[in-house]
Amino acid sequence: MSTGARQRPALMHLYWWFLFSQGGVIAALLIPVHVLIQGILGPLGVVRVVDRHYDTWVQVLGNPIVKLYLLVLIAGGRMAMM
Amino acid sequence: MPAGWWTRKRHYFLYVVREFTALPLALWLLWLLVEIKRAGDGPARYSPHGSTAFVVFSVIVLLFALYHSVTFLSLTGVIIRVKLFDRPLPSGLISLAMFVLWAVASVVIGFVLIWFGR
Repeated sequence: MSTGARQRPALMHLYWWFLFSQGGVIAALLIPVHVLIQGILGPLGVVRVVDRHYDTWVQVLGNPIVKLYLLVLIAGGRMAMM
Repeated sequence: MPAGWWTRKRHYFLYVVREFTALPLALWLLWLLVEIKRAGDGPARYSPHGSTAFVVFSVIVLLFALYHSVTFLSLTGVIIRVKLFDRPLPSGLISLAMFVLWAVASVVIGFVLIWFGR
């Protein structure tokens, strides 16, 4: 019985599609609330938002969890564009 | 295929709009990056985005963002297959779980953004 050429799993497809889909998930779950609060409600003065003042913004940006979160948010949003 | 194929049917048009949503979202994230960069320039030079043009831009981006979220999370029920006791979970339940996750994530992030503001 001939075995023929064995098909190998397309691991690179898995890798790129995983990044792409995760980017879509991150963009879908996280971005709307940022746009609503930091882009609309904050500038209009409806609510107090952390990025309206230098001291509060720097304090929050200094938090390592926030840094990690922003990396995921911005890198994820970019991956959705691939 | 003619360049205007996507304008022929409403369904095609909405599909292309959906694919396009990534662009305004990426542009808005660039604004966020600029604001993070400005925090590094010191207190004297810090000024957050606040012009009318930026708010109008954000409103348009929010519409695209909501369209992206609703279509993407609705689709998760078709893409994600979860088996429980050898039976697949209904796709509606998986979509519902993703929408709940979206709501929870939005409340948590919104709380942090507002709670630490002044």
